[in-house]
Amino acid sequence: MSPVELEPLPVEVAEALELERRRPDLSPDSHRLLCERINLALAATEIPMEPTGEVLPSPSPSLRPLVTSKMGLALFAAGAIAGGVAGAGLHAALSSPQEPLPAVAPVEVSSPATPQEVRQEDAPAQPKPPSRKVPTASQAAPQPPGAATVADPTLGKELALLELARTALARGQAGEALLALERHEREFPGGRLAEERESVAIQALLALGREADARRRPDNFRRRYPESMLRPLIDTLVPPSAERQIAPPRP
Amino acid sequence: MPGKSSSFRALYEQELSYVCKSLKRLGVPAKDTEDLAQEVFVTAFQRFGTYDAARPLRPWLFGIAFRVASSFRNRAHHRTELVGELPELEDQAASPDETVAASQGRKLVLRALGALNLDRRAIFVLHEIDGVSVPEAAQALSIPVNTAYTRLRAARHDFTEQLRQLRREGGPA
Repeated sequence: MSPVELEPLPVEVAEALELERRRPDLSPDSHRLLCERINLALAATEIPMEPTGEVLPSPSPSLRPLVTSKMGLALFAAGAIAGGVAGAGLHAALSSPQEPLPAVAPVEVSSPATPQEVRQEDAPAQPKPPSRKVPTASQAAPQPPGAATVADPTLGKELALLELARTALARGQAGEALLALERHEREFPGGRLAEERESVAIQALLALGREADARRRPDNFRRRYPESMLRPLIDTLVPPSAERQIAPPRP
Repeated sequence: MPGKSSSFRALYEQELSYVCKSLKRLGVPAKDTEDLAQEVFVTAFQRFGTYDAARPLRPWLFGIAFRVASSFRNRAHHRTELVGELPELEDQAASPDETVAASQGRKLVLRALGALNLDRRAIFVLHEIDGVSVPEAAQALSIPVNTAYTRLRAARHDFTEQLRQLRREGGPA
């Protein structure tokens, strides 16, 4: 099975799906009530150190206490905020080439399915690769409660660019990811997400095979952010010069 | 931990509508959407360690919603209690441009989605409605890419047939 064999949907189906795509969000009252309910549920939840394994069938590494880290949650929330704030913008960027942010087109796998692969349709899912722990923080100091919220328009713009870059990188469009990251660097030279930007940029450079840049940037990162929580990730991707062996690009 | 709650609150405040819509598209009854949305975010909170921050967030959340919906469906087969119908989580009030036809059209889509089994429904919703690439969707659903393509092709066929059938039976155009 290849993407070439996926013909366009019939017009009436595409139009029907577009209607569904425009389904309105929850009303403010429903949204507020459900948020409060979730807030109470989380406050009452004792976070286990091991995944429950009940909902997600794939085996996962043991949870690190990232969920107890304000910094980790700040980044998680930041990613979520970017997902929402950038959601509309990202969709526009994907569908409208006139948008100033680079358009990101979906990348399809081109290998056709063999009969053997078709027979394996119901085979157990491939085990997920070990999750790369991302203990991240945009700042060395913990964020005050509520600091990273959508009420901060500057942070929202930073997050939107980071999310655009992450999405492009996930789709194998490392060049587009770098464009978004370069824009972030221009518009937010002292931005709160500079460390995250650098980590994604390094991954994009590796994906593009730009080894010289991939070596230089981590060295700068280590000098600028010696105490960064992203150091383990950076060191894994591009070991310090004494142990230099460039890590292979992420799939 | 007030700080932790406030940080995660930003996440579900932003993505709550998306998760509720996803659950609805996965066939969760209106009366159960609220409970399952809560379950999705509690699970997301617990599963944060498995989230790769370099990847987009929504496919990952959808993967959790899919598994929550699947577990719910399995539990529902064993439930015998009767519950009264609760009012559906209210969507935003229709804009002046929103027509009855658009609302009915969306209901038709949900009915057509109901013809798909959950596995096919999930890949179809992720790719055709959310615009997620097939490889990304496959990862979110923890299935091989070729399996994703196979299911998607079948889902497209079944959804198209069902939609046309419903319209022939008098559904809105």
